[in-house]
Amino acid sequence: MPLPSPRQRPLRPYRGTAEIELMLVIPVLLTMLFLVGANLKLGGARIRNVFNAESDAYRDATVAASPALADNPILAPTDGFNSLPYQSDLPTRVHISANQSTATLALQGAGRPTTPVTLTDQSAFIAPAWGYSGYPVTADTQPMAAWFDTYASEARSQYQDPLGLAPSSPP
Amino acid sequence: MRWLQKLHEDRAGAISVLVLLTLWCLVAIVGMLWNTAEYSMRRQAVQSAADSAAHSAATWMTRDVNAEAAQNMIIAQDAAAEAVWRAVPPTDASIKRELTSELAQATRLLATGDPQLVQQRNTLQRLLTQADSEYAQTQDALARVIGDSAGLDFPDPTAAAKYQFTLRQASEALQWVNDTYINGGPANYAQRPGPPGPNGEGLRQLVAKFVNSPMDAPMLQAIIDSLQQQLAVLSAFEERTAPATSQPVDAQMQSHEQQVFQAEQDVASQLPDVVDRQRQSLADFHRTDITLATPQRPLDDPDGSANVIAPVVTADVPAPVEGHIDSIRTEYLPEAIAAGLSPIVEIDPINPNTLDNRIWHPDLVAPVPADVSTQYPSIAGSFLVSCNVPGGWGHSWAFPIEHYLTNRVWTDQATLNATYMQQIDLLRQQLAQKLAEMRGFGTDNVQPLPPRLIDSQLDPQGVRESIPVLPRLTAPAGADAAYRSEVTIYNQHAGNYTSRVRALANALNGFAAYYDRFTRPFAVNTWVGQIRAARTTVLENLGTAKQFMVLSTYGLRPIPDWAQNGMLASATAAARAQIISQNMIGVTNQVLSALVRADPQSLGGGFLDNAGKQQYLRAMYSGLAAQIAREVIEEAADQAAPEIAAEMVSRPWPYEITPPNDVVPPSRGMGRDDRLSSFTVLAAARELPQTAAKPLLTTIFGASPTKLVAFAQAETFNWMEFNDSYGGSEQFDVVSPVPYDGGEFIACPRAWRLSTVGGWSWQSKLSLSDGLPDALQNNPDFAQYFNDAGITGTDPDALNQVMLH
Repeated sequence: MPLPSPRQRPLRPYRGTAEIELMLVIPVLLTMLFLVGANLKLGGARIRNVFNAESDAYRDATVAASPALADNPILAPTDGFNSLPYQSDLPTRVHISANQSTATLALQGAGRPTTPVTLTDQSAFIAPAWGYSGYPVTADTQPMAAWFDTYASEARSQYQDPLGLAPSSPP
Repeated sequence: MRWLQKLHEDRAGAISVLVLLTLWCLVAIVGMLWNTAEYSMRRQAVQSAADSAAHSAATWMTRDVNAEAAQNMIIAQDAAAEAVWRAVPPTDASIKRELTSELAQATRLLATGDPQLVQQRNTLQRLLTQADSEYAQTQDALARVIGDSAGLDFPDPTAAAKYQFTLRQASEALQWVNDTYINGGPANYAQRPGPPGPNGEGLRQLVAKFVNSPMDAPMLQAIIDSLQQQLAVLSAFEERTAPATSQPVDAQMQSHEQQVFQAEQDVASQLPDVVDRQRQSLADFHRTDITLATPQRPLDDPDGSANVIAPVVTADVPAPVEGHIDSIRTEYLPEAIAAGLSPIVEIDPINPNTLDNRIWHPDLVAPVPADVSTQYPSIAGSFLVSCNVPGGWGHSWAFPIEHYLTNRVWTDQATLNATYMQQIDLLRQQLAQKLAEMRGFGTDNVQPLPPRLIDSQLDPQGVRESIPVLPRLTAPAGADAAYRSEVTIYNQHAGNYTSRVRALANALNGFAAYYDRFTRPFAVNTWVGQIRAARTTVLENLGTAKQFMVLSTYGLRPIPDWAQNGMLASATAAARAQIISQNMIGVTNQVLSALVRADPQSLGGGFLDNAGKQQYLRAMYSGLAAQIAREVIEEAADQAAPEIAAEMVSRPWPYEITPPNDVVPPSRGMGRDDRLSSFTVLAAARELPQTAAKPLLTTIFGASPTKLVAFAQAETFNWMEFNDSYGGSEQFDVVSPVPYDGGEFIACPRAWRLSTVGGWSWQSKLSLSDGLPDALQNNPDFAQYFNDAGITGTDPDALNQVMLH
């Protein structure tokens, strides 16, 4: 049996309390870390979501050959020029991206069921510009041509055959 | 001190303190992360609202411009219909007059016979008989000349051989004319032409065909049948167009044009309200405040969101340029006064350079160059050269819509043209073919008697000569009077002979073309001429009434400095070419007649008959005549064209957009000033309390004292600016030709931006924010939004530095 060192301090009753403290604060620390992690994930998702809402709506309004985000009842098209004959025949779309994305937050720890958070943002753009070809939305060509033909035919239709006039559209 | 030492030695609870500090840091991190995301997200949401509002305002502006362009095209389509309608009655009357006159003529000839035709047939026979008689006498005379040449005295054997060579040539030429040209036999030398008929006949066979197989009645009947078919086509034309010609289509179209014009103005006036309603709607949707701004907003506009006005105005808004001093009229003042033209003109932006304000140049008397006069004294000392074009140089009616209207008129007239006019002309061509088949002559002409024939032998110098048909003989110097007389008799008969032969060939051609008056196509030309005239009339009416829209950037402007030299050179070249082209035929014919009359190069000396000589001389001098004519006209053109071009360059021209300050290409499209003044809108969005950022730990991190504000700029643009069929081909230093009007040109690009398919292709887009400094200065409400965000500076340089870096 080794002799006790004369310099060794005597054992105290609070020996080991640090370990106990550490064990006690680990859940608290973990919770806080999870919160930080969740905030990182949630913050990025929120910023992306609102940005995507706008870019999706803008892309749909300006370059989509087949718009997918139009005719949303959230926002009806504004009444236009009531003096423009046959205006109701012209396409008026509001492209709304009511963007919803889901951020999955593992708040309850790894290997446990996760918590999905749904983020919602929206943005709206109007289209088309009533150009002749409707490009890039080629489907707009036909209503534009029909509108023009109806309007131009007001005066010309009765003389179309007698004078052999070409159809008003294509103009 | 003990207490301190004890505390230092006490290890209990140290971890707890550390953990508390760590926890506090973690809480702070959570707060910072949340706040950062919150502000970013709210900032992006406000930006989204600003983008949406700016783009939507620009889209409504674009819709307005597209609607105006489409309605201008409807006005032009109405006018095109009117042009077609106007062309129908005069065309109908003209064609009917011609066809009925022809039908009456043909019917009368069929009933009573055609004494002229009988006479022409007799003429053919008589000419052939005369030609035969002259041939016999020529042959006899030549035989005597040849036979008696054996006893002639020549100074040396070479002269004798040369004379015999000439006699042989005369004999061969006479033989070819009789055997081949008259009787249809093979040529007596392979390189000489064969018989002149379309099917290898000689003149004798052709005469026999006409004289012995008269087809007058069947041909006249065919003509009558065809004319009746043509009249039936014309009746169908009248019947089809009757529902239109019985109506005042011009008044109806003009009335509709006025309605469309009214709608154009109404639409333009409604734009500010529509844009504002859209702004409010989007503000509610995005739960933000939104205000609009335009960079060039008038200072007297009330505060608040800017009225976004349409970038179009009525055509009577662009101002004319008054008091322009015309350099040509000043230079030629007496001539201008005599023509009733003032040296001070007013230039209309819609009908530039028209009527009394046209670019006019007096016709010039161009002297024939001295060396040419000396060499060819028969040519007149000077010629009058026309230096004007119909309507005046560079004139245009209803310039902003002329481009589309002209194209539309040609599109609209095509059906009547193809269905009736081309059909009438086709029937006449078929009739020509049928008549040609009936007379067995085809549609080709009899080949004329050639002025010269190639010799079958080489001369003593080894040269192959060409023999005049027929050659003039000259008796040798030592010949006696009797022989000289024989040569003279030959020359007389040979001249008579070829003269009769040429007359016979001409008579045969005339006989073959006897019914051409019934087969000449004319309907399409008549129709096109009337369409051209009607198009000018409706354009003039539209340009005078000015009831359509133009871009607000449209106006008279000088040709840009960088483009003036190029335009001067281009206009000079174009005017010079036009003056030469339009005077060439007239002056050439006058010079040619003088040259043929005088025969300065004595080219006709070897000919024995005048008709042959004339024909030969015209062929021989035509090149020289054209050369002299060009020289004369060029002198006038070299004087007039630079003066015309200088006047064109000095005048202002109508431009739809401000001409670029930089060379085009590579510069293209609308400039910054035009974009900002008329086609740009900005929007600012500001958070509302309910959409403001909600930060955490504000006692620690503080809260932003300012509001979140974002702005965006959007504009209306036409992507055809870069299409070579539209703006991409615009050149400001080269004249622009105007098709369908015969060599006309203008000194600016043709208008297209508010009337053609390309002009109906405007789009909206979010754009570079180069209008922010102007917008802040001219829009108090807009500036207030920025103040709310803590941005108070309005220094344009600083803002541009930040925005456009």
